[in-house]
Amino acid sequence: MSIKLFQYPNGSVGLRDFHEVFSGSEFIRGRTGSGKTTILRMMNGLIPNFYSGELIGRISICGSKPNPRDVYLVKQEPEEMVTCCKVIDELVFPLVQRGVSLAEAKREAESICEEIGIGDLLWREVFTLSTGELQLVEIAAGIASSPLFLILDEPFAHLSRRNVMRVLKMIKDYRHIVAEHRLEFEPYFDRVVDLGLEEIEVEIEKPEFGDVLYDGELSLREGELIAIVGDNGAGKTTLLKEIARDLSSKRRKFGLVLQSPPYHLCKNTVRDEVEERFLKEFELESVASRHPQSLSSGQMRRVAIAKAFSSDIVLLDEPTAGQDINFRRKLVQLLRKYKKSAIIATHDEELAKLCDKVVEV
Amino acid sequence: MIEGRICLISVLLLSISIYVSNFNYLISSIVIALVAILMREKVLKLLLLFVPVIFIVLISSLLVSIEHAVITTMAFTALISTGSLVYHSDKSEIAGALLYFKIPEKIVSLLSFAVAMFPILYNDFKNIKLVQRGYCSLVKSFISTVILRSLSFSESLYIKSFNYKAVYSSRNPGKFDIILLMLCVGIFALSVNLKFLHVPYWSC
Repeated sequence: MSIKLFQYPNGSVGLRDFHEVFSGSEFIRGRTGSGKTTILRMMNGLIPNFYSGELIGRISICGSKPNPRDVYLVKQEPEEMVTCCKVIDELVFPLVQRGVSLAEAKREAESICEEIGIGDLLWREVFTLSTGELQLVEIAAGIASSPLFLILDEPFAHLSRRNVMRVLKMIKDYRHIVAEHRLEFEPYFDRVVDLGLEEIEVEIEKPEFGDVLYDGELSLREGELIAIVGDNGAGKTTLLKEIARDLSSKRRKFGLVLQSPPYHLCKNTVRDEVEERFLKEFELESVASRHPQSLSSGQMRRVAIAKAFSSDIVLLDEPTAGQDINFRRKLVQLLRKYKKSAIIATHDEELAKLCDKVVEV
Repeated sequence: MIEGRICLISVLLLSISIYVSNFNYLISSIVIALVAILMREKVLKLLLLFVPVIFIVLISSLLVSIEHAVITTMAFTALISTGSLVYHSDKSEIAGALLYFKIPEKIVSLLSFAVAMFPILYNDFKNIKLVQRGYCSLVKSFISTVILRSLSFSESLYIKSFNYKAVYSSRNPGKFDIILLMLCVGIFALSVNLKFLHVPYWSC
């Protein structure tokens, strides 16, 4: 892969001066917006076949042009990959498109699911799964397709440590490339491709707790940060939604940020969505005049979180998914600085450690 | 769960029955009752979703007469109820049934996508309702989400090397399916009889 420049139609530079040879078992790290997703999209031909723009450079996959048959991409947001209603059909779908008979595809899908430990999900409807469970299903679909390269865009963002280890065990038999922000899994790869990531030390204020603001499913004090942790499908999001409904019924003002950022955005510009003082804090000044829905998934999440900061009580579901490691400390610092009370559902162990209380479901 | 082919034939028979009987309220009531017995609270959920549409039908047909409004609304409600048979059945079996009835695979695969998107969009709507306050914000967020969903969906089709091949399943109808089919044939026969004898709906 030898890229001099890739520029999106809106003028933003996706990638510049990137020259790399991938042979499998690579871990791509970099700050949010450094071009990780762009590289992966180039590998299977999504760029330039699907996303247009100006591309100066050359990409070759084992001597041929990038194409989805050779390179299977598992996207960052698993909901965006759903094509069928039932889990078994979702697994079988890419295989059938590649010409495998339906019966054979079903056998293959069942055996992969058993290996990855999601055999119990096979007959469930896709929309009844949690985001983490769906991520496992999409990874299993990728593995079942047996491509030349399996490339995964932040596959661990929604997974518990136990499930990440399962996935790592499964993909090690395939040529794989992973772009990820959870650096604790870096040692499990043969090589690290660094797109530039500096760890910034952020001073976090000491917590000062006030009165109890919410007493229901959990007890939350003013200025307190509570982390909800647990395995995929344990019910973290459900608990967060229950708390939101409870707060709603008590007519308390709160900001809820779910895993899909577009849910929260309804204005024409980022500036209209977010209070001026939070634009700088969340490093959104450069995109302030852009339409929020035109941003990358990680940036959209940042806007959604910044928007939620207008309330004293903040409920966050996987806020560090799609964000670099500096963001987790920054988030806690801002929550402390603005004396927010927060309940955070997360798989991010580092983020959970920074909270005042950890509740396991 | 109703077998795919039986489900499609039943829905077709019930819908034709309502139409053939000139929206006879006896037929409409029987159809609603049958679907309610089969689907229980699921049909109620679907009807609740369609309340605004049912309400518009009621208001517009009230312009003719109250009797007309009652008959039309009942028939419309019955038609939506029959839809719940398909909505709550196994979608891959429905795809299998369509292929069995010689519908081209290309069309079946496209129809399957449309059906697969419904529950996902409904789930999106529920989540947005929880997050957004105000009708305008809710609608705007939902529309943006739908647009982004459709874009990411087409991207997924590219990723999965979509080749117009349908994913389907099939099985043999069971006793329950045969009984349902017979009931639907009975309702159809009754509606043809009503039509043939020119029995006006108010005499039933």
